[in-house]
Amino acid sequence: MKKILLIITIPAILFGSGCKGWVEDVSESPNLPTEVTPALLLTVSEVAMQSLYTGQLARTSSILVQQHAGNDFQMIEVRDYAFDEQDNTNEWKTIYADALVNQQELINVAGDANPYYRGIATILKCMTIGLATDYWGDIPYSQALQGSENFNPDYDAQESIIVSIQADLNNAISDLSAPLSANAFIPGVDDFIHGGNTAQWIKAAHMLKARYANRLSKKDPTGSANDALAHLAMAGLASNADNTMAIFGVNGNELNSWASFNDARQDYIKMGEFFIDLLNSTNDPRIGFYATQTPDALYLGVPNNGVNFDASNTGPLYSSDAAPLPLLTYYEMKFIEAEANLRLGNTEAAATAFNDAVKANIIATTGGPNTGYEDIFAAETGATISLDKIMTQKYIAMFTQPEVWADWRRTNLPAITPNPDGKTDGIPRRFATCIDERLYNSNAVIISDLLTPVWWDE
Amino acid sequence: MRKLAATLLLVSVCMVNAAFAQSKTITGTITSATDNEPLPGATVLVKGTTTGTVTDLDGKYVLVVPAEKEVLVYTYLGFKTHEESLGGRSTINVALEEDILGLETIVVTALGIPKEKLSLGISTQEVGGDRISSSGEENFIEGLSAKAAGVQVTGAAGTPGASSKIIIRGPSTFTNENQPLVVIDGVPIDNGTNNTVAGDYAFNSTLNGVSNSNRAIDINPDDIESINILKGPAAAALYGSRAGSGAIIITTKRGNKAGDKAIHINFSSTLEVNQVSKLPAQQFEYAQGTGGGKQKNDGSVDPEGNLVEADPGPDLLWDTDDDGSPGTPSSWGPTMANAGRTPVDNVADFFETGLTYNNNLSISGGTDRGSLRLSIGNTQDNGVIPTTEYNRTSIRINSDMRIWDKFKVAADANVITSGGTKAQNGSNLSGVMLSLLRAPTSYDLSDGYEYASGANRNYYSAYDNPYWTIYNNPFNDKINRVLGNVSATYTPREWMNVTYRLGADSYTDERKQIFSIGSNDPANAPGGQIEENTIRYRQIYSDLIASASKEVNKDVNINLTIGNNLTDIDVNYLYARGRDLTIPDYYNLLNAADLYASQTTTRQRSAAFFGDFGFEYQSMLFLNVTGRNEWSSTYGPNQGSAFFPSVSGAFVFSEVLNTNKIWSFGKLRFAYAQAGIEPQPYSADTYFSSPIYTDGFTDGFSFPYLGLPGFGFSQTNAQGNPDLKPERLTGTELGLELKFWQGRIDFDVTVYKQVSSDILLTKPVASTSGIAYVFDNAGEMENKGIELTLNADVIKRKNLIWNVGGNFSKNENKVTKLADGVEEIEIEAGFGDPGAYVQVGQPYGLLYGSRWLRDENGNLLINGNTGMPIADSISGVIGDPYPDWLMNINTGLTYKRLTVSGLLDIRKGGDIWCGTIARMNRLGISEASADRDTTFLIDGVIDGTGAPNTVEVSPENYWQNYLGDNGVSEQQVFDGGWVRLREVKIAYEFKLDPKNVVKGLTVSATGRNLWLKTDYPGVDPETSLTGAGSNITGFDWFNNPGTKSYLFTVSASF
Repeated sequence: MKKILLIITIPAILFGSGCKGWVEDVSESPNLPTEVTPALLLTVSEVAMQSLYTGQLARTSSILVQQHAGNDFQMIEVRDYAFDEQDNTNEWKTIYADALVNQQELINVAGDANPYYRGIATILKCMTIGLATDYWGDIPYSQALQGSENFNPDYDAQESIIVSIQADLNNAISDLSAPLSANAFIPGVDDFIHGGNTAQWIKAAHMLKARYANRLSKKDPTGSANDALAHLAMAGLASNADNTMAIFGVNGNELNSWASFNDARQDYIKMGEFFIDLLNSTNDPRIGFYATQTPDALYLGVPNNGVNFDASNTGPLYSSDAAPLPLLTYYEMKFIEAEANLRLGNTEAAATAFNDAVKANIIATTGGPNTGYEDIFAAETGATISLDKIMTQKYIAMFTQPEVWADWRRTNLPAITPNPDGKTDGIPRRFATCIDERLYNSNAVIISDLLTPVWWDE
Repeated sequence: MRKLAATLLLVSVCMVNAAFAQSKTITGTITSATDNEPLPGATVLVKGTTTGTVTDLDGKYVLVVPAEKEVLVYTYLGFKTHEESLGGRSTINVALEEDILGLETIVVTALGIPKEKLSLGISTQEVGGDRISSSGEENFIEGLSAKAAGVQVTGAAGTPGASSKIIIRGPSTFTNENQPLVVIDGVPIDNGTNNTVAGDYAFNSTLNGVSNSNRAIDINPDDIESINILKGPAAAALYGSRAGSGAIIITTKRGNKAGDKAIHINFSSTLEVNQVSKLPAQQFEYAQGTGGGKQKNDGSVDPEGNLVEADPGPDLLWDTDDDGSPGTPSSWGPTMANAGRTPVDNVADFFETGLTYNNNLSISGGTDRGSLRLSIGNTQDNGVIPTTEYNRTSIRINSDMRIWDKFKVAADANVITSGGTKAQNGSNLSGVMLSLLRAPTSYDLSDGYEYASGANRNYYSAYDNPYWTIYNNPFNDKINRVLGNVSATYTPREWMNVTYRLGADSYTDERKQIFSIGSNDPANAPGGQIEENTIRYRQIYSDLIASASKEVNKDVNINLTIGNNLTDIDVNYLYARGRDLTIPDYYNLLNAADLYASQTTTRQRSAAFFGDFGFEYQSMLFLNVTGRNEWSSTYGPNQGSAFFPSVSGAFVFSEVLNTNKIWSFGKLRFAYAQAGIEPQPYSADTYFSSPIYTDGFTDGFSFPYLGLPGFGFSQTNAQGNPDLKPERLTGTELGLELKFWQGRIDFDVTVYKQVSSDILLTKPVASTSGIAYVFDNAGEMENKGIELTLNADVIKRKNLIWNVGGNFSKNENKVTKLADGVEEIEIEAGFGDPGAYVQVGQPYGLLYGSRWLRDENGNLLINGNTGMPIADSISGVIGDPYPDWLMNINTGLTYKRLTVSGLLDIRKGGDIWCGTIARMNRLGISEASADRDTTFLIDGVIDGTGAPNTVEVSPENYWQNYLGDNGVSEQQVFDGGWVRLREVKIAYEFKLDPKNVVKGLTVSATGRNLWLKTDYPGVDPETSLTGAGSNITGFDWFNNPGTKSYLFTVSASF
């Protein structure tokens, strides 16, 4: 019996150790890499960022500010302010688990040896977290992205997030100002937004700084204006050539966000009545670029509580397969310059900046100047300029951009009538805390009332 | 070398000489002790050798026995084995006793280990190969339906070669393999259902496309001798982490049994006539169009409606400036008379009678040293949907040879080529049923599917004409497969042997899906698309098994088996797609402007060491213990190995209690075991992936983007877990077997409880951590159930035999735990509303979706103004797709040479979401929706007052927003239960002179699914959109329909 036991156990032991090695030979996936280059991460980081700025978050904000109208299915819920904790989980996950995580990874992978990659990644990260805090207010940031080290990150105050955005952008600017020789790898075509042009990225960083300085207009009217103007001065912007645009392509997997949405979800979104009426009433030359005509050759918007399948769709400039979409623009900065100067009482400077802003946007939109329109709507003086005019023209110029909703929350301009059948009493001022946070993050701070303002809107 | 050959030759010559030296010739007759009738074909063997013979038609035999041999062994199926010593006699007549209680029945258990059924404490059920082949099913998995207790088979149906899914004792895992391991002659084979999925496709591919085959369909049912179903973890524990969902052990037919040296040739030919069994009916009163409900939603009355018909304009091209109208899928137009249209039955016109031809030829023979069986089978199945077909040719050779007395080798090989043409199914604009069932009856689909311009001619420009789909958008698959094994058995002593077996399963599956230019489905429509997909599968499997059995004393027998098992699986999946074709009808990737390719390679290895110890006391008490220690490449590196034990026992209490005339046998069984389910490969590590950013509305963004590759973290790519271990199934079962009236009635009952723990799930975590999901062993679920089997030989006379049998099984499943903070997990993406979920406290795979608001008494709450029910803002459980219980009853009556048999199949419950009928209601094309002259009152109470509803609704509202899919999913869930005559057969065996060339001739006619009783409003409720390659079930969204069949068979033996 002992012999039998010996015969069984000895080979078992020998065999056991051999087995583990033999099976582990094939345990690593040949399908996916365990290491990636900065170039791969940069492309991913840019696509993730621009998908957020132009996707469902933009569609929602555009319906809320009535540039667009929810006309069918889920977009009717948006129109009716009936979105809740479940409706934007996808965007929430994309922000952290697709965009920020890769942007942070690129910052880590690039390190001191690749300041250009690190600088661009930092700007992308600031754009992403900035958008997130505009929509959700206080959110995890300083304890976020720690992986399995921390599945319950604390929430940071929006104020501190904006402070870190400004600080991080300073670092990005200094990284991007490093000499070429300080870089092991240089971004090139992998940076499909600016093709590795660091000067453009430095301008983008200053533009973002100006945007987030001006964001605090309710909190610190004077300081925010001074800061914004200071950043703009540093930016040294000259024309629309300084714009940072989201770039798309003609293949099915790289289509312009509005084009692919309108292809896949025909008539879910139509042009909004308020916006179209505003453009119609002023014979705005941009209308044919923003909207399509109805079969009756009209530009027609859908009321904020109505449905009309014949109404105008988003126009070709914003909704064609490979059409780029604006992210940070010269004309936006001119509007910020106008608004900041107006806040400081520099009405002449405000008027000049305003006129430049409108003209720049008309060129960006229609391809050339339109003196007929400009003579009326871009001919303000120190005596005639007003916040209403600035915000209304900015509202028109910033078509589809999430920035419009933030501006409306700061200024309540232009004066939009809320959907009378809306689920909330007024236009929502934030998104509800995502259900995933309620379920899986024990430190989540839950806010479900869509009318609770975010910090800078208080 | 030459020297060795010479020596061998010399030795063998000596052996032959020795054999002939002083041999003696024995003659005799073998009869049945019951009625003294001779037993033709009984075997007489010289004990310990393969030397022997079989008796002739008169039960007589002549056998030359080598000099030193002294004992002969007499065997005959259904009779007890008998041994006789020669004792110098030259004539030995033997009367064999019937084994009435079946006590000597041998069954093949896990790892191919044969055991006496009497000794088993585990639950197994054997289904004879004749029952599989006589079902006429080309897929033996489908052939198993309604033949065993606790086994649920669901065929996807629709097109020839569609998959069939088999589940034993309910689902055992959330997202891994819920189907049993399929083993042929000791070697596992692949039964995967491969779906063609592009690497950039982010959705569930089983919701559309074609119904792919499960790969067990490659096995020719005519080659199957028997199937033994190992039901619980106990029976399958020796397969370790591949056994959590049970195992199906197939034994194929081999050459002649020892002693039979004749050549046997069998030929059978079957013609099968298939027809569509059940379709949702259309209405023929109203034409295509809108506005034709007599009373409208807004209260106005419009009896006319508007005829809306598709008109591509003079250029006959769509999406051009001269288009008249894209048409409409809606049949809410004017009456046929007002529209000036004569109704056509597009649906009836579309389907064909499908003919299937099945031919099998087998040759078997034997010598003193071995045997051989060669079989060739061909099936050509033409579907009821024109152009669809499935073809399989299988060649199998099974051979055995005893090289020396103590050394035996066997080699089996099966070469298969199969495949066919399938048609689009389910949720896509090129789906056959989607376009066909929605077709207004005022529009004749068959009047050409292509305009002169080459554009799709259809009633609605967004759908493909179903004829366009079948003629222009075919899916073809071509499988070349080789499987088999070689084995060698060394038997140094009569009580022990060592076997080494090396098996392989290797196939390539080449598929091509074409969407011609102008088709509506692919994302780039109408540019056309080509998909090329090649799947290469290869498994090597090796077993080294040593067995010994020893009679310790008169009362006690012990046996021990130990062994080693290695498995190596290598799968390569290559996908290429070309879009935007230029030249019509030219389907090479060269013709595409937009190319995409993706690839997945999966390597998987496991190694194990196992043992099986048995103890037997007086053929009364049996105890069996097994263990398997397993290493697998799919376990996390921190896990090491996993151990799977089992213990089972049997107590034949009829040995101690007195049996009597009525009660003749009783046995109690008990088993406890653990088996496993492997993690998916490569789940232990975190990898970078090429992300897909979807927003739930569009196809989203993926890479290469603008020609640039991208790799990074992705929310959809779960973080690996180095602690991953196999899921564990812990099963406990108790069984009781009883036989009465000398075995005429045979009863078996099993109760079981199977707890699944460490169930793997991609656990959602707060994505603010930068990770959205982590793989984890977190879930728990249990199955409890009862299985009953009863067989009775009601009449058993020489010329008249009548037996009745049946199986009943009921399984209750409950999910007991998910991960912390996780309330529900969607198993696979369904339709959103409804989806299929696991939720704590609920059965697995529930359908979950939108519902109506109800009061506490369950009445619908009705809006007092509109008369319409109110949708609940919160989704909930709307159905359980798993049946309450399953039952089947079979009977066979043989009078002389005529046999009549039948199989009744009952499924109680099992909900199906019939999105098909809901959409047909909404579009006003369902037969019921022709009822639109009147208003409707929906039964319920007014919200707020609780008073009974008296507000009537318009027919439009009723059919579109209440019973149509504008309503809630709850309204669209139906009981998928059925009672069906699954098989009925009549066969006649001709009496032929055995000296003829043709020795046997049988003709038979079989009907399948000839009678079906169900409340389900759609196609035959044995349907599955997602098929066997998916873990969700209960979805019917324009599924292709099932069939009923008539089979005519002639079989002859030579």
